[in-house]
Amino acid sequence: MRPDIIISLSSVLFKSYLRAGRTGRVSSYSQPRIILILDLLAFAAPIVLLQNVMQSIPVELMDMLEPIVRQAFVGLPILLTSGIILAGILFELGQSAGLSSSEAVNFLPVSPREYVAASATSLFSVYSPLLAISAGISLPLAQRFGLMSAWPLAVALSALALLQGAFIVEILRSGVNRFSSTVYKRRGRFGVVSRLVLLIILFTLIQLAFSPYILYYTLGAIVSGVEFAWFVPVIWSSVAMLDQIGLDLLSTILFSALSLVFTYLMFETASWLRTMFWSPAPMSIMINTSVVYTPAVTARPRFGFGSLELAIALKELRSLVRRKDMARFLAVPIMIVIVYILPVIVSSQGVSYSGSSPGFFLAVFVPFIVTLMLSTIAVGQEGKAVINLYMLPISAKAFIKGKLLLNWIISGITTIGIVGIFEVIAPMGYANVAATLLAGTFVIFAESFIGLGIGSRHPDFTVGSRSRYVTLGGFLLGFLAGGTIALVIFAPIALHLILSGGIRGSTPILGFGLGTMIPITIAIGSILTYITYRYCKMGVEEFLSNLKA
Amino acid sequence: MDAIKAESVSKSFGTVRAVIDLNLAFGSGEIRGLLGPNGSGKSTTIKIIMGILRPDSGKVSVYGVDVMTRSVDARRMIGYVPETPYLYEYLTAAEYLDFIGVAYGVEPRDRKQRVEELLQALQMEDHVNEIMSGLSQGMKQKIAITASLLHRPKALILDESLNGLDPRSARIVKELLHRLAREGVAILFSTHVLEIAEAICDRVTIMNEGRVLAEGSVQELRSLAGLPGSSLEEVFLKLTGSEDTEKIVEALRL
Repeated sequence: MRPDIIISLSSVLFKSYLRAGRTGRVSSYSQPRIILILDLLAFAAPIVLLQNVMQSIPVELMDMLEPIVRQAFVGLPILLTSGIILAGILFELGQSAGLSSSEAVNFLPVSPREYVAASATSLFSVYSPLLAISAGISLPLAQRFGLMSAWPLAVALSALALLQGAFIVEILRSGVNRFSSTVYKRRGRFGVVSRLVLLIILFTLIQLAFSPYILYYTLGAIVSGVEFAWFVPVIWSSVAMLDQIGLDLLSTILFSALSLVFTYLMFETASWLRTMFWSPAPMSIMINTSVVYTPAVTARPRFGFGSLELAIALKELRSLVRRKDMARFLAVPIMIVIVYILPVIVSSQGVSYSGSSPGFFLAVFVPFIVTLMLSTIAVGQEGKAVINLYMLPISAKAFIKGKLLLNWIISGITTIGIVGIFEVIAPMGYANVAATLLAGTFVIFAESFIGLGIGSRHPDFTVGSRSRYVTLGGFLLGFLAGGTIALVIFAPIALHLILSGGIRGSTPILGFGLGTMIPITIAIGSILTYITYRYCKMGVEEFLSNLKA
Repeated sequence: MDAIKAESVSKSFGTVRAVIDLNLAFGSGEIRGLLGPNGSGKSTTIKIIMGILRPDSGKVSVYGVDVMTRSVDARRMIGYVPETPYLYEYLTAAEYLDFIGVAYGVEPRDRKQRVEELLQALQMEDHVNEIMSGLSQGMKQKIAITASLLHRPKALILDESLNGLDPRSARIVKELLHRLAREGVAILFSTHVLEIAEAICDRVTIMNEGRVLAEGSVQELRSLAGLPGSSLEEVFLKLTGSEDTEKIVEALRL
């Protein structure tokens, strides 16, 4: 391995991260040294903040925090490994070759081991603020709780864990590449669906692994006994930390050395997988083995949707299920439902939720977040191919209906599913369910219009898994506007549930019954839906008449 | 009636004046070449004619239809092949062509006939059910050309569209353009390759720094440049003031 090649390639890959989607001159904010400044800030800010905050916390409370802090020290390395793997799955695996500069290297005299080392170093640098912030938070805590002797090792093992995670991401990268090429070549359409399912399972599992319940149980298991530690290499660094705090020097050295060996093994595995499985050229994928062109049956206009609108909706569906970078958006509704429902089921242990309407709050959240997310990205996700829409004879109205139809279906099914599931776990009564679904319907329409309106005004056409498809300003604007709209439309039903027994179990208060609240919801919902539609139409008209890509 | 007509069109991007007071008009059945060095304003002009870029001033119409106020109606008459074919790469060629066909209201039977003919002519029939991300640049260009002709456009706009095509396909496209012109289609053909412009175009408009420098048949341009008997390349280099290429090459210390 040639260190100069690794450093140089790592710098190139890192710059690609920083400058993805940017054009024009290079600003000082897109130079690699910016990460050093970020690291310094991420390290220093928590130190200053915590030292001030800890002075005002009563001694009794601080004593109560001590076991939690010790547990956090033990869990720090594994948290960083999991963090970088999660970020890798969400943001790196679907990264386009152009953006990540991973294609050019195929034609250069760079060995797989050199590439893996450079790519992992670059990934480590990108996520180094995680390490810096962890070190910054843990330093004042170590000082306060007498863990200063453990702090240097905690930082060193955390750095090692971060690198370990970076190598695991490289392993996943080659693995997914292999899976995609094999399944795609052999199975066509089935392969596309298989990959989508695999990605959704991966996203959901990772999200679950980060749910507070699972983390709590895992860390508890590590702290309570190391019997199983020998069999789980990823937690060796955490076991080393546990032994350091317990002043078991021999075991500390042993598990630290084992962690180092494991990191090296991950590097060798990633290099081997890249040698074996990396497919440098885009493969040819046959969806249908026939070479005869058979026109698809043109969808007949129905339910107020024309052929063109249905064709756009079908295109949107194919985009969602076939693009690696889009799969995460389809996974979000599934993740939200599972992550929210699991603790309710796991922690209920015979407790009845009847009458407390937990489903209502998720029913507020889903139409807001899922609908808004899917509509806000609807324009930006087109990427450079948006030129296709510009050159077609599409009116703003057809564009809106075609772009939003799939969103309405997904959001509608998810909302109905959630309310339905919770009606089984924790019934809130059919009248309340109907009122919730009514408000949910208005929210779905209003959020979709506000999202598309913002997406067409502030699109980000950078395609890749780390791109947002909407500018940061647009995202914040959409989040604020969408959140306000959801709250306003759901407010009457929420007021009814809170004040008339749905949540408190008390008797209804006059004036807050559904008989009053449903007409108010209809009035507010109709007005906001109309206003957001006008906003959306104006944005789309402007968008279609003035090229933004 | 002019098929494509641009009157006093100007467009700036910040301080950069991309198109300055452009006038362009030609009728059906004519192949008009649009020539100019990089950054001369050709692509901006084409996007304004397509109605996807709003000019700061001026007016553009296609067969009398104002592209700014009735852009949907105007686009129904236009077929467009961009310089780089940004297609929906996650679709198969068949799915993409279906989408385009539906957008222009081409009936399935008509679509099948036209797609099969065009794909066969361009030797693309074996790739029709392949996801387009795996196709080469030239193959994608062929799909884009097929898509642009699917709805029998009255005006065809090609922006450097022969780039990446193999010689056989390029020849077929050239002959196809002549046939379409004979059938009354107005064709605006932007290119850097002067031999192609000379072979294909009836008249040529040369742009430089956002302005129209000269307009006419190749013969007329030769006379205008005072270079009778010379090639279009020499005429172009003289008119755009870049004929001192030999000195530039000599100055290179290779």
